[in-house]
Amino acid sequence: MPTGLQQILNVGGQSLGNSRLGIEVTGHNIANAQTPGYSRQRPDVEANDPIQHGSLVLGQGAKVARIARAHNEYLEQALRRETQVHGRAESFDHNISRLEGYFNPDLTSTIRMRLDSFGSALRDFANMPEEPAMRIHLLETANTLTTSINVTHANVSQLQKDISEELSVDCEIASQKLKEVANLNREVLALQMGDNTRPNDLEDRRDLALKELSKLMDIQMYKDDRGLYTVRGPGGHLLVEGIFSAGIKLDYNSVGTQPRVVATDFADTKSVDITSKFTAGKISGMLDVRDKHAQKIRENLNEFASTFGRSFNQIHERGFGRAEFSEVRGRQFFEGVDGQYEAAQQISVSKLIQQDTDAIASAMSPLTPGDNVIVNELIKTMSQPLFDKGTNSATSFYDNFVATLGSAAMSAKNELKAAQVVKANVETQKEQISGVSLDEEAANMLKYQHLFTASSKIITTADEMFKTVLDLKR
Amino acid sequence: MRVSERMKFDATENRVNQARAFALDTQDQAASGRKLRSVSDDPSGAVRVFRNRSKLENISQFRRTNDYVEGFLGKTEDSLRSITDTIMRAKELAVQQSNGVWDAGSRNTVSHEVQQLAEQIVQLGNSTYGDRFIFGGFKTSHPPISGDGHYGGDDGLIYVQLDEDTFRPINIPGRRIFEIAVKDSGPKGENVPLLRIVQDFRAALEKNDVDEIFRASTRLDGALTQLAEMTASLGARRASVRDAAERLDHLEEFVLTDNVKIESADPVTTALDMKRAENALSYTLNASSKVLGPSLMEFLK
Repeated sequence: MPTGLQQILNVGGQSLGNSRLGIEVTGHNIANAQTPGYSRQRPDVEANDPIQHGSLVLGQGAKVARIARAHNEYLEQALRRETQVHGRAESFDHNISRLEGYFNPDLTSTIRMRLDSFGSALRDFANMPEEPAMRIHLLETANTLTTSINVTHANVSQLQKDISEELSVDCEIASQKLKEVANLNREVLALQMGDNTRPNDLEDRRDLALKELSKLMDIQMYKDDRGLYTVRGPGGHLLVEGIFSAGIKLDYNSVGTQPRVVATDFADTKSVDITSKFTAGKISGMLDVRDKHAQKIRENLNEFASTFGRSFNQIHERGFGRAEFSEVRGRQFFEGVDGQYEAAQQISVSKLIQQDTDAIASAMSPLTPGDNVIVNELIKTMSQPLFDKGTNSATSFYDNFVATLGSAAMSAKNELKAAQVVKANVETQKEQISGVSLDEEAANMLKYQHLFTASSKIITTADEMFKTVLDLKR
Repeated sequence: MRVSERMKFDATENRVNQARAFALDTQDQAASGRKLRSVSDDPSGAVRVFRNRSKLENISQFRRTNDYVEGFLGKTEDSLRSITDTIMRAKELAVQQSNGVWDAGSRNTVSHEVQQLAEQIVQLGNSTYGDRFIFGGFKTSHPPISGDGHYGGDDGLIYVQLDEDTFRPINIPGRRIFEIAVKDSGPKGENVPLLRIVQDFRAALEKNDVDEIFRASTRLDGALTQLAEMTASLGARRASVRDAAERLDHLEEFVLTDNVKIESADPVTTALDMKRAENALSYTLNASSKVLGPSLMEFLK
């Protein structure tokens, strides 16, 4: 005879337990209301299997079947995707702004302005070629011009180095996150071995690790039938499978100008160059600035220095100087523009001219101190189309590459704004489902408290009924 | 729609950040008075600013050149005028003394004056501007006219750049002044030093040779024609230098206005933006304090 007062006590007792659990879950939710990546949990309460009693089917109260987390896999994926896009936009914008800073219109020490001053000094020199002060002034402005080219080149290559250093840190972080995903995979697996409880909090942490990984690089992933994530990185390189993880790092021994990003295998024995495979995430933004934009500027600076320097030298070599140089010619004005090294780094005014400004060539014919024919030709080189297959002068060439950089920086700003809006949207959508609302939890608390009171009422009622039954005997 | 705690706080944080960023940007613009603060603010505008700045730098240099050239041409013109005056005086004396009424004594006296004139020509021929001998062609550091009147300079024309696309010669090589093409004697096209014409005149006066005096007067006439030509060409050059200076003023005005248009923030717009930013920020902060505060917890007792 299964039904009876005993049964009422059981139902009441279980309901008491359920409502206590409800309060517990509510407490857990409130405690994690501000935890990043946390998904709100709720007890899924089910009615117990009823029992047949004669012609009656009697309900047997309720039980908590599982504690579920409010989670939408599709939104999680969308969020990872937008995080990748945003990560890239943010780091690209940040780094290209740094690069752009070296060409800021407020700066007075830019190559552009030094070139203008150098042109002015040349014209002053053309007015009075026999005046030593003009030669010294020309030398000084030439020195500031070459220094500004050297400094700009140094700034750009230093930025590339800085980015590489930051990259190496980020690769380390990414490797740690990959390891974390693999470890969480292992823990999820272990928890699942025991029973079929869903390890909600572990899954949240794993989702968070993957989201943080998405900030850094592009990853694709899928869940296998045991609920473990397999993660593939740029170019489809396998990064996490089950409980194993690979790493990514910067290879300083690699050939080429900049250290490459390589991915190792699980045993860390072999590595593959994946530098060109990054399409999203912070690392791809940094690589883009380092290997495309900064590198392009660096090449442009070198071309600027070598083409300008060589054309200038060509004319200068035809001219005669002053005093002891008034009968000899064939001297270079700029040094370091013909070598195998980077011209923008090497360019300087020739040592001979540094020592004696009389070596600056001004005259077309020997022993003619007032002859400024060569100087006038040098002035004309400043505006001659030496660059881009004879279409652009030195200043236009400079303007063009600075404008190209400026446009890239401008669209980076816009892309970042767009990525921020989209990512915030998806985050809001996710929060709508998974986030904790204190109002809701307050109502739940009240709900479970009432349930608790009511359940205890059932027990006391059953108790009283027992007493009544027992008192019958007296 | 569910509104979670993190949503409320994140949204508030976003909104306050946006309001602050806008406020900071307008503040920066107002403080600097510039709207072009990086190339990416306006890449094509930035390039125009760069080019305009080059033009301004060049203009200030062209002004220096202009001043110098004005001085150089002025000195040249003064010297040339004095030379013309000197030759004019010699010519006057030649015409006067070729007349039969004068006797050997008076001609001898006049010859002393002519000697003075000859010395003046050497002096004027070796005129300098700064340390430069203006009539030496490219050979500007040695006196171009020797004591016997021979021209020791060359034919170099010193070109200078007056504006972006004008190169002009500023000097007159002395050969065109101090060597006179004479038509009356010797092989055709032979050039005689100006000084020698004057000295020949002096010799003729001393010898009391009327024919020679007459010949000197014709030669001096030829010299005057040549000097007049040079003076005229010099005048044309000075005019073109003045034109260039005027063009520079126009260009500078245009370039400055253009730069202001691209670079400078409009004060009225900036002031309005500042006010807007201030309002936006205070509203956002106010609203946030109201929204973030209450929760159901406080009402359930």
